[in-house]
Amino acid sequence: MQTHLRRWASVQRGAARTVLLSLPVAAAIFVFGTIFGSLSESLIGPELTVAASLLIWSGVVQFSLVGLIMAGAGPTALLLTTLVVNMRNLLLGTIIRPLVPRGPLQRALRAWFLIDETVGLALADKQTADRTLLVSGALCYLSWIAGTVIGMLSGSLAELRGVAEAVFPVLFVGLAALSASGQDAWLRIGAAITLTILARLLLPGLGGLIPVVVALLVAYPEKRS
Amino acid sequence: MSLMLIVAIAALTYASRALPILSPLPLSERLQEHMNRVPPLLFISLAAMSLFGDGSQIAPPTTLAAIAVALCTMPFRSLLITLIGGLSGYALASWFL
Repeated sequence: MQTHLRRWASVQRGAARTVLLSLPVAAAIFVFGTIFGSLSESLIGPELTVAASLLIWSGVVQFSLVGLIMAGAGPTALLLTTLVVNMRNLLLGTIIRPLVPRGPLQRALRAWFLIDETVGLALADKQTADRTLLVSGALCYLSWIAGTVIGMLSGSLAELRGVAEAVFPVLFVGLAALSASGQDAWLRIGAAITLTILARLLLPGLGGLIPVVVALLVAYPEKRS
Repeated sequence: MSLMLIVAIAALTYASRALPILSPLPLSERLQEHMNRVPPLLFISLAAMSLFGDGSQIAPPTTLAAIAVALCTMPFRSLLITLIGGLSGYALASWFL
């Protein structure tokens, strides 16, 4: 009985730690959700805005859609853009796969919570990666929906836009620092920043594919032992 | 935009998340090692993409300041410190500019 209680207490402490770790990320996602809700509601109406956040649940896809709809793009352009911006999920899924349970249903559930931020948090401690993916995923999902609804109710949130634009790169810098390991990690990070800037300037047409291509290229060279 | 289109986009998005996780194909040790090096590079590349706004314009100075301070906090390897640092950079730039 005591063993069970001790184990239960340990699980609770672990879950509390994961919630604490996930809160800053969930807060940033909430802010971004409010911007999305505010922008999207005037374009596609409240019902479809909520449906998009409930079903698509991807900031990068949903903001791309808003931009394309504003530019008058049709369904084919929307679907093609979705394919391109989702390419990085293939990478993230491949990376996280060895750290999640093997059952297909369990994996299907984890896939629902697979976004940049939850994978970044999960990789910070591989021992607790599965729990972090689930807990942070659930928190971020709820924050995204809540942010969308609050954004719709609040109307124009132009003042928040600048903060949101700055918060996400900062969040990605933090996730990069958390998931970096190995002696050559900082060197590779420097190379990735340089290559991204060059690609963005010289090959702007690559757009959302740039991070995927740069990450794969810079990760490739192996350290000679 | 219709509900059907939203469902199709959602299906594409979920498929991109589920396919690699559900795939039964094992990864070779070498490929797994390679993939383990990818996450920080992907995240930092996403951050670097934000240095540019729409088109090839440079992002606003407030965003640049936030990213610069965030980069300086990387050795701490703490998400909270990076967020606080980045937001402080943003606030300082908003104050001075």
